[in-house]
Amino acid sequence: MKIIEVNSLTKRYGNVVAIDGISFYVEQGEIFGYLGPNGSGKTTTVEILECLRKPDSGKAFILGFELSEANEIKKRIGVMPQNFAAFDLLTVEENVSFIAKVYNKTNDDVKRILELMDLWDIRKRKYEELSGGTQRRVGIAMALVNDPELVFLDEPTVGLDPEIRRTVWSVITRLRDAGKTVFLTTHYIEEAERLCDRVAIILRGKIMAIDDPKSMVNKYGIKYVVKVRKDPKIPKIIEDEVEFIEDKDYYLIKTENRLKARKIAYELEVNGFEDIELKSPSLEDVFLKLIGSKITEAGELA
Amino acid sequence: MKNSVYVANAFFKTWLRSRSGLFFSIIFPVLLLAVFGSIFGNTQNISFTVYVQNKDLDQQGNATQLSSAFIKSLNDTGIFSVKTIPSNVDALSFARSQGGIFEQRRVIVIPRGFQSYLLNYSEKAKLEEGIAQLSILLNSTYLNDTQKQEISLLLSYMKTALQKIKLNNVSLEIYISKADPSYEQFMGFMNNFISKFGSYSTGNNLSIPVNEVEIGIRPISASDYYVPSYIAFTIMSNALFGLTGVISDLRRRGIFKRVVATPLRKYEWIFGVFLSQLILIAISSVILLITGYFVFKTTVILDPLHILLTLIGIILGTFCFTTIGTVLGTVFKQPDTAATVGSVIAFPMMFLSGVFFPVEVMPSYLQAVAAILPLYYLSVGLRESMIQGVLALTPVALIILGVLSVVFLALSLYLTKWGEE
Repeated sequence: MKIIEVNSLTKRYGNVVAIDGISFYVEQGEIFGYLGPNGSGKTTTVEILECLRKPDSGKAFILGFELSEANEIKKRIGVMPQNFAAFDLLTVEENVSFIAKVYNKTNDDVKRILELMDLWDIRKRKYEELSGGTQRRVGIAMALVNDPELVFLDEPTVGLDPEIRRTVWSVITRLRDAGKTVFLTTHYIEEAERLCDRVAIILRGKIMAIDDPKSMVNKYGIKYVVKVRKDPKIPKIIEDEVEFIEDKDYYLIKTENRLKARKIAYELEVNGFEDIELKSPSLEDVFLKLIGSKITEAGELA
Repeated sequence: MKNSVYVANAFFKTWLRSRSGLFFSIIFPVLLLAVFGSIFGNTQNISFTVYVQNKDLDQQGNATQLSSAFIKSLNDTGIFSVKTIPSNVDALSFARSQGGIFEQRRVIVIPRGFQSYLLNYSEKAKLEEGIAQLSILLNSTYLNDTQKQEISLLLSYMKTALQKIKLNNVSLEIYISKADPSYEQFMGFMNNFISKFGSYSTGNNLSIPVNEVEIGIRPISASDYYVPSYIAFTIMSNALFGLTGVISDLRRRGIFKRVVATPLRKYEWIFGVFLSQLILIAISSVILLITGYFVFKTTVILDPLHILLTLIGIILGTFCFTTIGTVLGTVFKQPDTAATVGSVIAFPMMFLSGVFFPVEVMPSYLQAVAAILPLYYLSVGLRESMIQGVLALTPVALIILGVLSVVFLALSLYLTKWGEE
């Protein structure tokens, strides 16, 4: 079942086209990744789907409702905005309870969510006293408190250090296990690859590719790479038909076959060569191939 | 409306836990009351300020000798500190308007014809005395007929002269309020002076008629003045120093977006913010009133109409400033900028609106500025309805606050984007 269906959605800010006729759908129960660098139109898309902005043209159905039926949609979705921070001086429980009450939810609902997010024991702590990762969990709890069918998480791990980021990932995975559909925007390629069932890559308001990460890797012919420090003897050892690239200090040996890549790495190891690295094809390679650059930690193209 | 209560609850708790919020809403106004109430509080000394208006002028417009003597002797008593006001101002409205810093305006008006009254009285008294003595003489036995005839003639001249003296109905007017804390003392000294002056100036026991006019406005003490002022000030400062930054900050932090993405309506949000401000103003007002009452003996008028008008003033004022704060917090995206703009508006308003000293002490062009400031109307309205008991400017003040509330409510509804652009 399609939870979100988007058709030729366009949004301009003056002369700037923020999103340019995008179309996609999101299936029930999946984590859908919306991956792109800063300024690519991610937040604009999310905010249109959350009924916070109006598109200039195009249509979208959320849970079967048109965007004009904002109140019906709002009742059924959960939202964690970008750079979300709750009321600093309210406790965890008070913050969650504030949103819960607006949805006519009871204290039991609040308790259930706090327990689900492992926040029950620290419910009396003020938001400002919490660590970054815990604060995000509170934000997610605030997004979940109305028991939504669909949850929008806009850059949920931005600014967190990698370890904390992983704890947030496990929370998001739990949402899928609980049967929620998650729409996740991110500029972390790894995050999209690890978490998402399907990923849309967006750049300058246009969707460049949509698929599950594995198929995407296959589809774009991304190869396994064996990286090794340069040595004149190496080319003689490598017999198989592989792509052989000379870098400044390294050779990059590329193949589509995983076994072949492993075999090459093994042979190099056995022959005593140093600095050997076997890299599986990843979404990052897809991204690099599609866009021609990487995304930095800060979300810019590099 | 239930949702507004949840919004108010969240804002209120945030305020309750924020030290600066508590400081500016509760402690700061009380400190101001303590400081200014003490500085200007000790105005009860032996010297009474009295304004004298001399209407007894000759044809050249100069004060008559006796009226000048009256003023000079009044000042020479050392009990009264005499200030004069021009003869063409309306004494009643002068007395009713607030003077310099908490000066109590008691006015005495020397009427036209004061001197001639005293002179005529004196002459009349002398004639009457002469007539009485001559009458006794006339009846005595040792006068011959010629002498009696002459005295009779003199007597008839004197009686004719006496008949010609007309004593105009003049009286000194004293504009004062019986609610003036110094009323008894002031009138005691003043009546004593007037009767002495009457005796000395006429050589008789003349009691110059005195007409006391109730000015219907209680001269107010510093703390009387400051309690409503600081309630008004707190309403403004909470909104412009506090709320503006808070609203802007909520937008920056995404809480605002989170709220917009719920079924909560825009008007419920704005009403909730207003409600939270109203609660904290209520707390702040009660604390100021208690401090004023117990420490400075502030007297509050407790009839239903004045209480009602005070409450309406507080509610309209809070609503007006809450919506102004909301507009600023919405227009200025950066919390720091929003707070700075709030301060830039609040500071001049604070000093020009008569919160710290009456606007009457300012030059007239600054008074004209005060007349366009909402805080001026709020503080005047509260002062009149809470303390003074006159409602001269209150209806206008409430209407202006009401109109401004509607304008800024419309603006904040328009500017607060709630999922539409």
